[in-house]
Amino acid sequence: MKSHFRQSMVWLHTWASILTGWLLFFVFVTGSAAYFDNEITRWMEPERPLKSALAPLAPVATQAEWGLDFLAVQASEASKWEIKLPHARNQQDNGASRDYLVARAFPSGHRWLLTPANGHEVLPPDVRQTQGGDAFEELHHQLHYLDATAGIYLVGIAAILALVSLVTGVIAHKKIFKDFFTFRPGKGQRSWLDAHNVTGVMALPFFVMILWTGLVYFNYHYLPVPSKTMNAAVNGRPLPQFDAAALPVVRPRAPLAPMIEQAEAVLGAGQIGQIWVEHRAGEPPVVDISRPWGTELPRTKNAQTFIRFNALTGERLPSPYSEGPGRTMLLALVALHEAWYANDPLRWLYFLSGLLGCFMIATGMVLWVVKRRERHAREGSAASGGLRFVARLNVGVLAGLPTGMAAYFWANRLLPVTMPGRADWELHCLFAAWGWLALYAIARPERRAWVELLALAALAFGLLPLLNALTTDKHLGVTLPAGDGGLAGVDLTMLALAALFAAMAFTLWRKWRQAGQAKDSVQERMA
Amino acid sequence: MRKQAFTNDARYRLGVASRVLAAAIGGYALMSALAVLLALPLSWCWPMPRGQAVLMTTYVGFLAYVPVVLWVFHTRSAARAWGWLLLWTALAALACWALLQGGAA
Repeated sequence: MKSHFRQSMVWLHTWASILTGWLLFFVFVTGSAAYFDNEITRWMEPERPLKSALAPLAPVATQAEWGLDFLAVQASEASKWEIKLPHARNQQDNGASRDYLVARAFPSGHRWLLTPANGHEVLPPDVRQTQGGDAFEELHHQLHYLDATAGIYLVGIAAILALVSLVTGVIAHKKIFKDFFTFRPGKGQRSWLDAHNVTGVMALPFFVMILWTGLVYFNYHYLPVPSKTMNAAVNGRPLPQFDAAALPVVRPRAPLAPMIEQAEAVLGAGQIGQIWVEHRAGEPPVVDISRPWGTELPRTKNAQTFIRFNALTGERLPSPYSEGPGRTMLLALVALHEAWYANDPLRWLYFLSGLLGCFMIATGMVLWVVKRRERHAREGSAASGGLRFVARLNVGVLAGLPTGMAAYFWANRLLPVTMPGRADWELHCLFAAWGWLALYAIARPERRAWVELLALAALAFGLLPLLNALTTDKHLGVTLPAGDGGLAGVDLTMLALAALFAAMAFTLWRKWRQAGQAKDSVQERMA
Repeated sequence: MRKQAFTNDARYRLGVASRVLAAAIGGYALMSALAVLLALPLSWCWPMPRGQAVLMTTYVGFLAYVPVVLWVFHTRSAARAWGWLLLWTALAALACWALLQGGAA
């Protein structure tokens, strides 16, 4: 009975994985890239200045007063003002709010950029049209070329099946801990299984966390009935109501410096990211101060994270917000998924764990083929159509996508800057390159297709820093001496990826050439 | 003999298809009903508003769905999977209905 249990779990693991593998691979690849969305956006908008070229910052309180001066002139009728201080952890506005003082008025939502050195308005840099790193975040959760909601549901189905695959994979796996230290390279099916297991087990907690929080992220899409039932039965009012009318904002009479000092005492020095001013009928006008949005774990508004002051007297007021435990947990899980709270080393850990996920999925898809081929070879039976189909598409999907990603960056540098619909065409290039490579892989002998596509990926990524140097003035020769880690990091990561793909292509090429010289007559066996 | 093999094969495939539907639809319905049912004691014990409690139970629901799927594919037959899923979902839904009626009054 026990072995029957494992057999049924192996069966479930196999089918849940094979049905979702390619989609999950795409979601993991784009999701991993999206952890560096701000750096990628900066790389894809080379018109933006280097970090070192930005003017030095004035003290926070001075900047905030400049913002208020500006808004008092420009937005005297607004219902709410927002000032975003330049902060390394700002995630919004495509990372532009890391470099500038951003003044914003509501309800119009109009936004102005001010220089953080003197408070003078500057026009946003005239950048090429691109979706930058945000594209990966969108591809990751809603796919492309289909309705966004449909994409969200498809990714959700893949995620729950991936969770099933993880659990059944662990059950199917007899000696999970011992095998973790076992790698038997060059042994065909065993080696692929080892590679699949090592990558799967190494980041297992990350995979469980990322799949679960991904599902929770779209809680209202994926599991709407319980909340609807409760709201209908209890109050039918899911959100707290702010009934008091908003009055036009005026410049706070009390100085901001003492407020900022008090807020920093709670939030931490250098932690202030945002300041709001508003005035509700029947209440005193208020100034609210918080960290950069989304960088907290959990990202809730409460007395510890959202500091409120009376704008007339400067006296501290109690925070009006308190999130319930359910909301707090949601915001904690969402923050864990997006990693906006994470510092640089932790962000790299997220990225590398994501890459391990890509390898776990890819080795699993290859293992499915290798295992069946070895069985057919043993039994002397012919490979089924399904096996040939998966084997062929594996090459195009798994080895073609990296070049597709690279094509997105190539398009960013090569498409004419004034081209209409430019941002869309960058993405079309990603999918066109990927699609053509998948067709190419079907037309080529399978082993050659693997080597050629991986070598092409190595070239496509390896030449990107060179292309960057030829087409912009933000290349490694400039960014490294200037100490702009974000921009240089993108180029260096491309080189590292190129080395990785080159190593894979070379290993396969050498292995199959030796196998060919040894006149290994076993037909089309990958190992 | 050949025909026998074919019917066995077809029966196996039908069984798999039936289990897929049971896991997808039946498991989903059970998960939804349990999320509501478990939110009620949670809202009494913790104490918190039901709207908050049900949020928490839906998060756990995603995790609880996984063993249900595993069981659907492990149990002896598709009919068994359907039977138990229907029974438990009906019981959970009935309990929710009774408690929500009582609670709303």
